[in-house]
Amino acid sequence: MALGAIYGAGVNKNALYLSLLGSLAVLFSLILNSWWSVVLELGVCVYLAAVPAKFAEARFLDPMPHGPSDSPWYSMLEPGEKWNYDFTLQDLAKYRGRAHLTGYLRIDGVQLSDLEVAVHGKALSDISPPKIIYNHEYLAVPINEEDAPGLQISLQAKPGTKVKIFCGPEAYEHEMYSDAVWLEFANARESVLYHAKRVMNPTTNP
Amino acid sequence: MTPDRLGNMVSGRGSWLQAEDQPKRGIKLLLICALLAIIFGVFWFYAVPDTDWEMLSTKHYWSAEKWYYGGFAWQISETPTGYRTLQKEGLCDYFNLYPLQETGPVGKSRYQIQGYPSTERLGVPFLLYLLSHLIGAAISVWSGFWLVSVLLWLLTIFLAYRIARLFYGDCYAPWFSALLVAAYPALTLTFNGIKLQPLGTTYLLLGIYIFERHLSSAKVPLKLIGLTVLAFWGMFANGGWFFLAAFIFSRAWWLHRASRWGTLTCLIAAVVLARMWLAGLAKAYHLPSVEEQLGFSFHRMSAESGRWLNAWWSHRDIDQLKFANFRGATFFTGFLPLIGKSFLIVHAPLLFLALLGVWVEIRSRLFIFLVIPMLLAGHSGHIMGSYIYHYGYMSFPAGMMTIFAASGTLNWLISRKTFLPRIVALAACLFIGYTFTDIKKQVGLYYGGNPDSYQRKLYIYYGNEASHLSY
Repeated sequence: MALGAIYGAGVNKNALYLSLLGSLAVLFSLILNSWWSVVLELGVCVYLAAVPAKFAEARFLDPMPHGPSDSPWYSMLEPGEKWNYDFTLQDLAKYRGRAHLTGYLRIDGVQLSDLEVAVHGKALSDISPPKIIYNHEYLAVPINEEDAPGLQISLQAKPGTKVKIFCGPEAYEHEMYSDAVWLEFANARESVLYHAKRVMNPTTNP
Repeated sequence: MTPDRLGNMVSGRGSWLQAEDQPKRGIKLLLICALLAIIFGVFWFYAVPDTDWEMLSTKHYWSAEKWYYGGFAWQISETPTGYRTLQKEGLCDYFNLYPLQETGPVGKSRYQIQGYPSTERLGVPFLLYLLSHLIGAAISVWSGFWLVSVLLWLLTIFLAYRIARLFYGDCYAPWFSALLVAAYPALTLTFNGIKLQPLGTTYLLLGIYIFERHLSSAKVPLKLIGLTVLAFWGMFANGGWFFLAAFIFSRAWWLHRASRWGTLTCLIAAVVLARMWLAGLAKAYHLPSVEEQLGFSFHRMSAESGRWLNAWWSHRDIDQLKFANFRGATFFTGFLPLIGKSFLIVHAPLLFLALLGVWVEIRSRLFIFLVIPMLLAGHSGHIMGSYIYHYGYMSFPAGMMTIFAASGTLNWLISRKTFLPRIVALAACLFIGYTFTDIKKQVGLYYGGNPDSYQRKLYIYYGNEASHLSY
């Protein structure tokens, strides 16, 4: 009745919120089961109905590092474009000293069989075709140059193709790592992942 | 011999397994101390660290595993400590705070309930909005979600204690229930998520408590009002209304005949009334519905399942037909084995104790009987969407039944006069708690049903940053 009065008086005409609040109040009055606690609950309920709450609004990154609006999950790698990544392989020697780790460059996207991958400027051949799971493609390119302190990876699309790279923004502290392109050195017990930003140059889009 | 809460006659047993005449205060004190220690430990080791296991599994193990789940971050929020990535399915819990804040009439609302699933999870932003009256804008909204999650966990422990006390009335069973729920992995994994998936089961326990304490023996008008309100609120609590309806429907068969039919009639009427109430709001506020979003129809599923059964019975081809919304025999060859196996891995020791209760603790039989119905009711969301995937919180209602049944057995063991059964009870409880602490195994089971998925130690390096993350 109190909530009905609040609604009728125009203090709060949000029937959805009042329904949720009213039903919760009924449940609590069933539990409390004493007149003084129900009176107290009624007071709280009226306050919750009549006074709108303030909450700290979240600040979102705008625009999101997504792809174009027609396919926000993917960024198109235009033929002729070259996307470069400089991976710093920190502590890898330490992990490799403990156990053997197999290295892979991992890429998620679309039409990845038309992707050309180069390590330190040298194009890789015989790349296994990507796995396709639920219409998503996963490419795992073996990497055997983990002795180097860093790896320079370049991606290019073959002419006349439509390669897309998944936009799965990684974030760490105040930095973004937008492309789903990363290095993984792993065995059955450990996995060391390296993320790098796409190197910005005049021929690439952010 | 005296009748117990379930209407059965209970008698003690003789010989070396004879019960103590009076509860031992020392044992009770030990259980209380253990509960406080577990609460502190879980809070310190699982709630305080900021690991969002769902987001972590989505991001870092995605390509490594043989299935797709959830996608990467849908939004990124700036926080004082850096960016926070947020998953698509949980984000609506934040945006749906705004429609609840509005005070204007329907036609003039600026915000609308949105997302998937949104209406069915509206209880989460609602609870956070209520809490916002107290905390205001003093803490970030993401910390607000964390706070609600911690409070729900504590409420669930308290409700488990109260329910066990209602059913068993003994000294130790409530403490065992509280202990097991405090450490239960479905709750301890999700502190830093914003979906607050265990809400459905917290609500289930609240509903069981209200039903048992106040409604089961109430007169029909009060029972109808109480159940209608419960069902209505449960429709915003992650499927909680369905879990509770399944419980009360099964529970009714343990009631006396006069009360049984009244309860069943009130339950059906309450669900109808609650759905009408929700339908009115849905029409006015254009509330999205999971059933519509998934294109699910119970009537169509029933008809399809009927055709499937008919074809199977006649030895005709079933590959293109559907049973329980799954094509061919997938329900039996994919869905049931996955959820059955995952449930067994998490709950095997509890189930063993629960089954022991069939012989030694007559009052635990109701809960044992309910495990499978609650498992199916819990996973009904996957049936609606034809998903072959294990989600831990969907096994939670059945897990609760197992915990209550096992608590009865533990109570029986620890109440014996001789030393050995008491030691067995404490050792069993310790062992179960220990199996829950393998957090990465539990994450694998919770998200996908594979205990090995996330076992690898993970080190993540970002660019030239000097520090790194490890899990």
